[in-house]
Amino acid sequence: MRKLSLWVNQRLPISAFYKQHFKRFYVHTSLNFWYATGAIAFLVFAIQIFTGIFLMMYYIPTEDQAFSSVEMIMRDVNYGWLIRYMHVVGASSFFIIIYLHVWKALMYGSYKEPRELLWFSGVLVLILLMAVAFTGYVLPWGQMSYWASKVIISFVTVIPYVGESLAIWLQGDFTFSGVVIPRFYAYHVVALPLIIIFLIGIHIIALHVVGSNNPEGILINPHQQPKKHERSAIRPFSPYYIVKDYFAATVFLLIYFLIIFYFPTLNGFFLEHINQEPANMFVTPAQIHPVWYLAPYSSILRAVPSKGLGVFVMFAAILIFFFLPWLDRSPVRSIRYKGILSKLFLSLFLISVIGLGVLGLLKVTDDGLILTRIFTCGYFSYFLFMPFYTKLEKCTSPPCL
Amino acid sequence: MLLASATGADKAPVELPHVEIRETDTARIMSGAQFFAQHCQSCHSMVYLRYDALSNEAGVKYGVTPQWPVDSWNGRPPPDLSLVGVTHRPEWLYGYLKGYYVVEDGYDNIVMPNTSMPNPYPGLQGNQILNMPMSEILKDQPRLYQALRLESSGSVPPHVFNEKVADVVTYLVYAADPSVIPRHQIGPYVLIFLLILSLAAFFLYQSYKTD
Repeated sequence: MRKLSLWVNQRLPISAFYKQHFKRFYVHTSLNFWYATGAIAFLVFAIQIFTGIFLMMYYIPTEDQAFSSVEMIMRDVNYGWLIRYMHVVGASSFFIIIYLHVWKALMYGSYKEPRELLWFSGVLVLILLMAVAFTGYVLPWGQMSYWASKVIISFVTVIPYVGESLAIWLQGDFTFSGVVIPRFYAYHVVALPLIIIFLIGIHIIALHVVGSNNPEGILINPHQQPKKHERSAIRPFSPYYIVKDYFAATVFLLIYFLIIFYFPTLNGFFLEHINQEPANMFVTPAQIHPVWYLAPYSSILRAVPSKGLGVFVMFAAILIFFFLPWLDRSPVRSIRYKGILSKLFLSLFLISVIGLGVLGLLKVTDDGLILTRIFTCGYFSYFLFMPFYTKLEKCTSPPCL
Repeated sequence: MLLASATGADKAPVELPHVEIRETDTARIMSGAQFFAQHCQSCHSMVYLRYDALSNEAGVKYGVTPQWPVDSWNGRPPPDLSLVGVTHRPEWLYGYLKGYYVVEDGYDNIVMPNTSMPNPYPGLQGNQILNMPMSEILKDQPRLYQALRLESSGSVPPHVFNEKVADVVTYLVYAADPSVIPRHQIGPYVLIFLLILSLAAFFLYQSYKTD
C-alpha cells in the first residue's frame, strides 16, 4: 500500500496537495458558521450540475416542446419530479447561500486588502450566477419565463449605438420569441457554467494564497505553522473545519430536502404559479416581476423614472461592489471593531435590500414607489458615504495574536 | 402569500367559500377523478396525466376528449385542466364549480361572469338563483352562499354535492402535481436519515471543537 502511494505521489502530488491545502492550511479559530456558507455554496453548485445533467436527458429546447417536456419530467420520468425540484429549490438556495456569503464578507471586511482579487472573482461569480439563473428561468417557457425575460432582454437595448443589434443577436430574432430557447439553453448548460467553474477555481486559488479572513479580521499566514503561543488561536483547516463544514452541510441538506418534499414551490416563491401556464405572447400577465432573488434589482429599476437611467442605476447597484475595497478606508476589517457609523450604515444597507426585495414582488403603488426610492438611496448611501464614515468614526483595535 | 394572488385570474365578485384540501387523501382524489371522468372529460382533456395510474383507473383517459379546433366555442375552446390546480386557488375552483345560477337564457356563473362553460351538472345540483340584485353583489362582495340560493333541488342533497365538488377540486390540485403522493411517502425516511446524519455530524464537530 505504501509502495502504491509512493508510486502515485511521484507522478501526481496528491499528498502534497492535501498537505498544502487542507492539513497545513491554517485558519483563525474565531471562524463561525457564516464561514460555512462557502462550502455549502460549493455543495449546491455540485447539486445543480448533477441534477442539471439528468434534466438535460429529457428536456427538449424547442418552442413547442419546452413546456410539455418539463411536465413530462415532472410526471412521467421516474423520480423526474425529485430531480427537477432539487434543481429549482437548488437555484433559490444558491442565491440564499451566496447572499449570506456576501453578507459575511461585508460584515467582516473580507473584501479589504489583501483580498481584493478574491472579492473581484466572487462578485463576478455572483453576476454570472444571475445570468445563469435568468437563462435557466426561460427554459420551462411558462408565462413569466416569456414576459419577465422579454423585459430583462430589453435592458440591453438602452446601451447606446449597439444596444438594438446586441438584443437581436442575443434573442436571435427581431422580437423576443421561442427562438431564444435553444440559445439560452446553450448559455445555461455550457457557456455560463464553464465560466463559473473557472471563476470558482480562481476564487479558491486566491483564497489559498491570502488565507481565510475571520470575524476578528486578523491577518494570518495560512501556510505558516503556528508558534506555540498561537496554537489556541490558529488551527489547520483539516480536520477541524472540515467537520464543521460537514455539520453545516448536513443541516443545510435537512432544510433543503424538507422544502423539496413538503413545500417544493414554497407557495409560489421558488416556483411561481403563473409560470406553470405555458407562455402565451398574446396574453400579458397582470403583473410582470422577476423571481425573488432578482427582486431588489428590479425594484431599483422601478425607482428611477426613466428606463435608460434606471437600467444604468440597476447595473451600477451590482457593479459598485467592485469598488468596495477602495471605498472602505477603515483601519480595521471586522464590523466588531468598526465604529457606530459603519454599524448603522451596514444595517441600513441590509434593511434597504430586504425592503427593495419585498417591494419588487408587490404591485407598484404610489406609496410603494416612494418607499422604493428611499430604499434605493439607503442602498447606495452604504457605498457612497463609505469613504467618509469609515474615515470619521472611531474604531477599537482588534486583539493581537 | 406574496405571490399566491399574483396570477390575477382569481378575482371574483363574491367572497369565495373556504374549502379544505387534503392533498394526499387518495380516496378523495380517486372519487374526484371519477367525477371528472363522468362530468368534465367529455370537454376537458388532462393531457399531462395520460400515464397517471390513478387517473387511468378512475376512467380519466387520454384521447377521450375531442381535440377542439382553435376557433371552436367562439375562439375559447375548453382548456386542458392538467395544471388548473396550480394556476387557480382551490377556493376559486370550488366557488366557480358551485357558482352557476339561472338567468333567462340558461345559466351564468357568479364567480366568473359570462363564462363560456355551460353548467355541467344542473340535474345534480338543482337550480340556483340570485339572492340579491347583481348591483348589490358588485357593491358589497357578499359570501357565495349569501349571493345565491337554491330554487329547486337536484338529485343529490346540497351537502353531498358540496363534497363531490370538493373531491373534484382535490383531484385538480393533485393533477397539477401528482408527485405529492411519492413526496409524502419518501419524505419522512429522507428527513429522518438526514436528521441522524446531522446529529452524528454535530457530535463529531463537538468532539473536534473541544479537542
